[in-house]
Formats: sequence, C-alpha cells, structure tokens
Amino acid sequence: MDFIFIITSLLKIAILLGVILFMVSYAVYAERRVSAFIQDRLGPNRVGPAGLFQPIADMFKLLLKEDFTPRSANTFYYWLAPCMAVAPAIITIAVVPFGSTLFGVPMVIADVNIGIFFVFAISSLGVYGIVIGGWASNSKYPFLGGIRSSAQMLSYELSLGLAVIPVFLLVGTLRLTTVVRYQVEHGWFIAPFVGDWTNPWKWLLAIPMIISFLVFMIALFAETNRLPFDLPEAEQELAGGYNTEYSSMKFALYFLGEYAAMITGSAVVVTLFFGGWHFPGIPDGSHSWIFGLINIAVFFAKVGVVIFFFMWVRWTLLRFRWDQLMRLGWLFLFEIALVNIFLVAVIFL
Amino acid sequence: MTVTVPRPRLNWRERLYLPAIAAGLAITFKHLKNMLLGRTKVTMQYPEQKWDAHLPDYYRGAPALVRDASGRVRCVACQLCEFICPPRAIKIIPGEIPPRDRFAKVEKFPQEFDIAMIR
Repeated sequence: MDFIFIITSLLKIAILLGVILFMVSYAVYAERRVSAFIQDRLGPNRVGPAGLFQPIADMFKLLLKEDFTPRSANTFYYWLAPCMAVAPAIITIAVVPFGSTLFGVPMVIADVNIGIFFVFAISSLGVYGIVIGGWASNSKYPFLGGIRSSAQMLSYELSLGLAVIPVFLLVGTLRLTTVVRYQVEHGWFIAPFVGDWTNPWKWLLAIPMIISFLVFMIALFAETNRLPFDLPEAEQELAGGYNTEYSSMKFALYFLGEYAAMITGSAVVVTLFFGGWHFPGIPDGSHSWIFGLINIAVFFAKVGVVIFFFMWVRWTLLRFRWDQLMRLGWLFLFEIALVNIFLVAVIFL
Repeated sequence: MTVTVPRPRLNWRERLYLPAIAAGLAITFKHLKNMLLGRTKVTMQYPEQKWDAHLPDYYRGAPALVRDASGRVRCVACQLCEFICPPRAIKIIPGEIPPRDRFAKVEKFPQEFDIAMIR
C-alpha cells in the first residue's frame, strides 16, 4: 500500500462521488424535461437559462421542508431506511471502470477480481432500504410497496444474474476492466465491428449477446424500479408506495437512491455490453492524457444515452399488472436467460 | 347473465410484445423530436405572451353583464345564478321596466347585480 495509491484512490473517490451526485441532480432535471417534451409540454424552464438551475432550487426546497416523522413509525428504522437506499447504489460504482488510464493511474476505484459479483451483491442490498422503509413507516401503502418491492427483486435478480453469464463465458473472468479490455480488442458485445469482424462465428455469437442484453436491460428496469415495473412506488395505486410517509431530506435521499441506482445500472450496462470507455478509433490513455480524458467523456456520454433510454421507456410504456410482472419474470425471462447460456456455450465451443 | 368476452387471438408477433414496444417508443420519440425542433406549439408562456396583446394593464378578467345590439343589458334578472351560486356571492335586485319603455313587456332587468369577488 504505497502513498501514491492512497492519494489517487481518495482523489478518484471524491471526484467520482461529486460527478455521480451532479449527474443525479441533473438526471432529475432531464427526466422532467424529457417527460415534458414527450407529452408536448415544456417542463421546468424558468429557473436560470432553460431551467438549468432547477435542481438547486429543488434542493433548497427540500432542505426547507418540514422533516416529519409519523408518531406510529419505528423511528430507528424509519431514519435508517433512506440511507440504506442510497449507499448501495453509490458503492456499486466503485468497481466500474469509468475510463482507461489517466497519467498512468487506472480509472477505476477498486479493480477487484470479483467485479460483477460485487455489483450484484451490493446493489441487491438496495431493496432493504425500500422494504425497511415501507415497514417502518407503519402505514398501509408503504407496507404494500415494500412487499411488492421484495417480491419483484426476488424474481428479477435471478434473470439479471443469469443474463450476464454469457458475457463472462466469453471473457473468462469476472474482472470488469478485463471485460472492457476484451471488448476493446474484439468489439462491443452487441456490435462486434472491431477485431476480426469478417469472422462469421463472431456475428453468430452476437445473436445470443443481443438476447442477453435485452434480458439484462428488462431485469434492470425491474431492479431500479423504473416504469414498466415501478410497482413498489405505483403513484396511482399506492399513493407513492414505500416513500409515502417520508418528507424533506429523507424523501430526497430516496429520490437520490433511485436515480443513483439508475446511473450505476446504466454504467454496468455500458461496461458489459457497450464496450465501457472504448470508442472505435480512439486509443486508450496510455498514449496521451488527452485520450484518457476523452475515454472518460465517452464513458459518461454512453451512460447518458442509456439513462435517456430509461426515461424514454418510462414515458412510453404503461405499468405492468402484478401477475403479469411475475409471469414475465419467472416464466419467460428466467427461461430465456437460461437457454441463452447454453446457446452461447454451444456456439463458443 | 354472464357474458364471456372473447379474447382476441394474438399471433406470435403480437405475443412477443417487443414490436409493440418499439412502435410506442417511435411515437414518443416523434413527439420529443417535434418538441425539440419547435414544431409543437401548445404551451403559452403566460406573462410574456397573451392571447390578446391589446388588453389594458388593469384587465383582470372580471365578469361583466353582456349587452345586446341595442345596448340593453341582456340579463333578465331571473335570479337563477344567485340561487345556484355555492358561496352565495351574487346579489341581484330585479327591477320592473317602466311601462313607457320600448321593452316594457319583455322581462325584468337587474337594478343591482353585485358579485362579491372576495367571498
């Protein structure tokens, strides 16, 4: 453990945390603008140029709101739950490589060899924030939201985990930096243009990869409680679901957790299927620090595109009914993911 | 009597559900694109834009009695609006039209028509 390593790690943590929190606040703004445009409205456009200072105004509003705790709530868990919703979403980003290298420093906070296991292990803790929050509120709607959330997580974590196995069958390791390195050499998993692109086997392999990507994406929508599967916080049926009783900064923490989960989920999708920080024709950061910066920018641009897709889907699709959600998860996605693994194994052999 | 509504038989393309999602996404993207290019004009930026630019500054949109072509108040003081008004904000005192007037036999007219705007 040398001194330089600690300093650079602390710097990376501080900067990445700042970037994530910035992205969260502007993802909320973008969500409002995108939803407005899709519905032929304008959205927040008054605070600052084109409404760009709206997140700051929102933050002040939430800070100044009364922080109300219901009398019948279990105070300890009521206070703990919002923190448990935020922390896993932000911790997960630690293993995702958000750039190649900058001045010889690898642009990943923790390059652990269990990469994707870490992501799944930590991000599935996020459901405790919702379940405990729903239970500790001691109120009907939050309770129903919490129960729905736990059942939904159970059914979709399985397909989420199975959907990425083909990726690791090909790469041969769980380390996320190696996954990105593999895609730099062989092309992105959903579009293998780089490398020996005339090889027909590689294109045949792209078919199960696209199936894998679709299953992973659908399961991720359920994992992050986004709209076709936002049953835990169904506004119309449950009056907001698990966060009904929350106000002020505790509500803001739930919001933060939801959007942070969306950002880290997008980052994982980009890393696994869209080639991470790689863009065809741009070398990695070992050539020049400018390329290192460009790689980071490419990564965050890709994350932005995936986040836009999340929003676009949210304002297009309707919410699934409860039994439809379970049916889709257990009877279709699970089987598709399972068969897909064997498909990749057969083609790969 | 129970009526069994026949479920439509869907072909595999409809049952796959993904083409329908793609079609829906295309529709919402069209709306987004038209909005970004400024082709959709629905919202009016109120204080800056108004329906009628010639309205005086003091215009507050207060209700007034409508007059007919000959300049006579068209209200006949039937007091139905006074009767139906939930906060009882309207007060009407009907008056007889004098017998020598051209409209003597028509109806009554409101001697006083007050709407308490702060009720």
